[in-house]
Amino acid sequence: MSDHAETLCDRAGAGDLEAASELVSLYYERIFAWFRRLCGNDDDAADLTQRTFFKVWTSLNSFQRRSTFSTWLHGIAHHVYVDWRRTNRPAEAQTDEWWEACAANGPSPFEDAAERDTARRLFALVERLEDGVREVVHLHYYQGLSLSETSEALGIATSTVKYRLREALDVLRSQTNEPKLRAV
Amino acid sequence: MNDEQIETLLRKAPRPVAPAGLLETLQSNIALPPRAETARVNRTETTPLLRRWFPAISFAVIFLSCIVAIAVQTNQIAELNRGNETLRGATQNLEQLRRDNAEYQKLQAEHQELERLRKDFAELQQLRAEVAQLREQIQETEKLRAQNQQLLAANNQPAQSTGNDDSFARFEADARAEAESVYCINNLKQIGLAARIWATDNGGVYPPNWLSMSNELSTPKVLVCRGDKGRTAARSWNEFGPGNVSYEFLNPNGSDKTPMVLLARCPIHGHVGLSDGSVQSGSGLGRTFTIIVKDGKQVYTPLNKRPDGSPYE
Repeated sequence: MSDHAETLCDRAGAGDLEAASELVSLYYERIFAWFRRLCGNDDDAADLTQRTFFKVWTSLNSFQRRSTFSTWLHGIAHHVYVDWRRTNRPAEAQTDEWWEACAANGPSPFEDAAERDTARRLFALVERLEDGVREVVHLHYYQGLSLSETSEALGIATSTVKYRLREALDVLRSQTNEPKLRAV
Repeated sequence: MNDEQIETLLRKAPRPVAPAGLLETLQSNIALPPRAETARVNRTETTPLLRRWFPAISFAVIFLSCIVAIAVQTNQIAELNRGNETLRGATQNLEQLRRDNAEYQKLQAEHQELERLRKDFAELQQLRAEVAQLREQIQETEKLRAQNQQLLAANNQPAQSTGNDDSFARFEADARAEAESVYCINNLKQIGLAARIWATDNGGVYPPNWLSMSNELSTPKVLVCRGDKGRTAARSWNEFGPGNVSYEFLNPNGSDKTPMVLLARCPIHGHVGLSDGSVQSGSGLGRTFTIIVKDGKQVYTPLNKRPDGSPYE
């Protein structure tokens, strides 16, 4: 997929609209999903997705191919989100209902209701993490980026990514094992 | 719940579905950059030349540095080897020089020993010559001793005397007379000294007789001349008498201010002692004075010529 994406990127850089449309088709759902989780509503996520692709087209000639197109795209999306956060309200934590509704749509990845309930509580705990830690969890686990891709997208060191993931797991493990939360 | 279970659940997180129409909106909003051709620029052209060739240049620089370092070290090793060879050669020469020096010292010691032996030999030769000379002198001495013994034997046998024995007897008599004359002069000197001592103690006036000088004369023997065979010396002043005097006392109670006045005279040898303490020989051809009587005193008067008519030197 990466080679195909770079080929499409080269073609789009040469002015091929069809290749650019195909790039949008490949990545817009992932970018929207990321923004949707971070922003908490569809409108802001759609708006940020449009801003991201607008910057992609304007910066396409400066893409040096040092990283994959996916990483470069997520890096642009990260900066777009940061700029948006500076001028708008902070992100709202997703409610349990959203995650439940979101999980109810389509085929569920969870095997039973108990696992779904645990996942729901876990996702809610992720949204309560600090911003830097939460972004790392989103990119690495939700968006499926590797450690190096996550570090490049966020502009931080790989060791920092590992540290934040370790910190997130410690927090999540400690909070999911608390009796109070288990009773929820 | 452990970390693995948490990670599994996180990876199963549901993806929110994009709203309908978003894809069309995004595709319709695609605005590719106007300079699309430049986007296809070769990556090698967009990369700066130095950055593109930096790995190769770095490797080349490091490689050349290594070669230079190896060359320098090789050169230093070669120089050290040459230095070692030079030092080895110098060491060999040093050993040779040491051996030569030791040999030279040995030869010098032998030369000094030889010089010392030469000196010893020369000294030995000199000593041998001296020994030979001494032997010759000893032989000559032995010869003279033998002759002397022969002469003594001939002298002790007057009945068998010959013409040589007469001459030896005259020689001996002359020597004995000369000795007696010298002894007489010595007596007159002691008499003159004693008279002056007595005059010093007595206001410059000489003693009236011989006995007055008994304290100044050590013994009365000096008053007898050995040539006077008819008189004998007194053993002490207590036994002294007129027969124990050979000399004539010519200036009794005289003054020491008249040094040329005779104080004493030997009638045997003719020697005279003056008032100043000196003694003049009056015997033989060496007599250089005469005696003149002035104011009742016999005065010593030197002569311009010797009695035999020869001038004084």
